[in-house]
Amino acid sequence: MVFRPAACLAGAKLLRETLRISHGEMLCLGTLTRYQSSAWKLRGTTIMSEILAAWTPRALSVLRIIAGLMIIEHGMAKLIGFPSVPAFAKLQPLSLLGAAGFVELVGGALVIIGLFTQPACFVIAGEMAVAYFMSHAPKSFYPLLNGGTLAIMYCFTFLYLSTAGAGPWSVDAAMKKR
Amino acid sequence: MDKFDKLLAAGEPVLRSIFRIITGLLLFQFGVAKLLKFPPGTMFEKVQALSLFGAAGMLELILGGLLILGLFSRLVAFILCGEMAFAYFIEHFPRGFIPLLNGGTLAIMICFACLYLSCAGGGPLSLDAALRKRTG
Repeated sequence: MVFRPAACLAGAKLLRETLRISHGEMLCLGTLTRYQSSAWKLRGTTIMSEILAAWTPRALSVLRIIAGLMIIEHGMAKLIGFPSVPAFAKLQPLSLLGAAGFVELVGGALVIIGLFTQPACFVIAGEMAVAYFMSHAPKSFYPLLNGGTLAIMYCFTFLYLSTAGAGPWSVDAAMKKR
Repeated sequence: MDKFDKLLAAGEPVLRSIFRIITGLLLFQFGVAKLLKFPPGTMFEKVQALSLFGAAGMLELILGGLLILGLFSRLVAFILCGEMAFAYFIEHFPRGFIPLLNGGTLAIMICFACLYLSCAGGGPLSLDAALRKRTG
């Protein structure tokens, strides 16, 4: 079928006026009929997707900053003692957990500001995979029972971030611009 | 460094699909634990199907399943993002401000992962992509 955006738009406008519905309702209708009709392809498929897709780079930066904040928290709890977690009270800095804390602290700070994002994220993803298989996987096969859900989530989020990069709100992007 | 970045960046579309599948699986397991009580022995043993937790379980079970398959990824991820934000503020936030201490780190991570997926879409390994290819 030949794709004619102008005709699709005119058709959508006519339909909206005939049915006397608002733009918002039209959006819902369009989203629902997305897979049924190819005549709807332009406005149906895309109003929602277009708006969301336009935000992808910024959403990537937001995801990166939040993931960095979450991971630096673990590093701070392990090495600085804030927030104080009883399980980490007697932690030695020169142990495996201390090294994990170091990776989380430094890596987390780099990820938050978005400097050397891709290598930093790659290292954190690796660390999380090791953490999962060393401390969670032996307890049970199911992540819900071995408490490793968060480690898996971190591992794959950072693995993804290591491929997608830092997005526009980052030191990396600012340096590239200069 | 630049070479390494480029090497990693080549895997972006496929990794996005894998990221989506893993996020879906993690949500799905909560739905299964809340409603179908599998695996046994989790903290969700006493969740009633017709309660707030049950409703959350329903969303996680159905929408988590759809997220794994990659059908209507954007819409589904958007709803799940809202559900997780709701869960964080109802269940975790009253216990304290710091996520590490109120146990809400996972809820935040899933919330923002879903927010990102709702913007970026499901990637190449999804039913969405397969359907788009078929309908042209």
